[in-house]
Amino acid sequence: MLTINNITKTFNLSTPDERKALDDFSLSVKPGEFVTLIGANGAGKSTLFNAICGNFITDSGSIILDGHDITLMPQYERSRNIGRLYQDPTLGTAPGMTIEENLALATKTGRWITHITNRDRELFRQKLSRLQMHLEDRLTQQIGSLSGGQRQAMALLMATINPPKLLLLDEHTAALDPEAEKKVMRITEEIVREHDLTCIMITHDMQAALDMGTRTIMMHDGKIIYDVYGEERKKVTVNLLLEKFRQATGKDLNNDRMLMI
Amino acid sequence: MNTFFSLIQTALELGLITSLTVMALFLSYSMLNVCDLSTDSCFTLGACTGAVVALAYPAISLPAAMLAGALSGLLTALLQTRMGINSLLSGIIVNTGMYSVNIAILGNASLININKANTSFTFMKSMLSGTPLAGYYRLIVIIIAVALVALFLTVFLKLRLGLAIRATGDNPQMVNSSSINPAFTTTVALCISGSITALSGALMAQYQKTANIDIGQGILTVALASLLIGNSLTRSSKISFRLLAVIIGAFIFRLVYTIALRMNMPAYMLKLVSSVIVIIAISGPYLHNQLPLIRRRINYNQKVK
Repeated sequence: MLTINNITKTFNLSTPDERKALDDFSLSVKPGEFVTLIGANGAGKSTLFNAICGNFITDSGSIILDGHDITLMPQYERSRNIGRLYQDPTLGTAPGMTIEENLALATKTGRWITHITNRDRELFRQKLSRLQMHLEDRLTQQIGSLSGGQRQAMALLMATINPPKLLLLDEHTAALDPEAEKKVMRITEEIVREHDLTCIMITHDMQAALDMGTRTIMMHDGKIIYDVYGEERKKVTVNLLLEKFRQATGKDLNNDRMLMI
Repeated sequence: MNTFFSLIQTALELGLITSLTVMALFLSYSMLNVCDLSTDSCFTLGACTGAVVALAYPAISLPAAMLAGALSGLLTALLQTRMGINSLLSGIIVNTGMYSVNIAILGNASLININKANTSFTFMKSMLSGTPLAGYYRLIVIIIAVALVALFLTVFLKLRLGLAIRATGDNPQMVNSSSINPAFTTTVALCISGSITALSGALMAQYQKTANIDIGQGILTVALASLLIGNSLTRSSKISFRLLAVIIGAFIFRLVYTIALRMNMPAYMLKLVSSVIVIIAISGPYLHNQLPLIRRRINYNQKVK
């Protein structure tokens, strides 16, 4: 589904702050695979997402999504096939617009001269009821008046209402309270399973990284330092992940800091 | 008593003509969150184009002005979305450059009279002559134009294209990472707001039977003041109510101005008054929020002494 060939991105080239955020990075993700991505701060996890989404064009290498070369494609064109959630729940929804208006933007994209029909509303209610947040009765309420958890659930719904070819989750529950985190995580797993989505999820929770998904990747200094899936992954523990980090980098991974973000 | 009503009627007419520009700002400033500083020249462009075309082809005077306004909006949009020029700066640049264009449209003159030309007003006057509404022919033309624009915006802002424009202003980060191209939504919104501003200018020229190079000077601030007065009238988030409120805001502004003129305020004060209203309307809520902090600082400083 997603093939990344030898991409490199250097920030602040030829300055004292020069930093290789992605270093000859390659990755191939199969359709339906659910990858959990871990690594210390500054490892290049979010930079990888930015590269895939087109926030910047990589210095070299290529990115292939579902057979199409998207390396040079502008961000908004890639976004038709990529759903993305951020840690900050305010980034995924428009606060001054109502629930139904936000959802309308996520459906029938490109069909600009269309109104929200009653059939649209029926679909919205049905999708919203799955969140179990009673939002289905509040279609005309402004998003800005919702809680962080509700907004993130809305953002998730908007990102997946047209099932994307790739779903990128950038610690999308890290800013939520434990209750909301559980709820959003449950909805995430449900939606990913239902549409058999190809998904990459960044997390700082190493246990969750092993519990969820089908494959776990650890990044450091813009490179993959550990990649595990299938039978082998079932035997992996958090301690083993820490050991792998030490082997690859010669440093201790401060587990507390990773969990604390 | 008669002069009183005719004063109110004139205030209503002028207020409603300005309210078209206010609605254009509602789209670009309130919805898209771009302060289009080319508004003044766009208004003048509409007035000049409308007047010149009215002399030759009266029937297409208003559409021609709207087309010119849309092109001006397109230019402003292209500068900021495709050429890397800051949105405020691109408005200023277009504003300056358009001055020459407007003089050229007027045929190397700074004033044009259209006393004898057929306009939408003379058309309505002949339509209504002999009916009880004859005395209101100006008002009727203006009300039709305002109603059509308000209706258009109400419908348009609920279309997915309108929603995308609102989202671009409401949460640019969200739009950047979505399949909406912000360059596209910005361009569409500025073209539409430009054409409405130009319509406003053309109607003003037809109303006054003259267009001059300064007709649009300061209209942005006047319209902004009207917009902010209108915003203070409603807390509704409904587009139709908010549009109605800003139209009323334009009328209130004009009415206050008319009353002030009657109380011997010199006419040249209009621009100062509109600037002061904009300052109060924007900085008022800010200063109000700062008030508790300012009080604490004063108390603290007194204690320290």
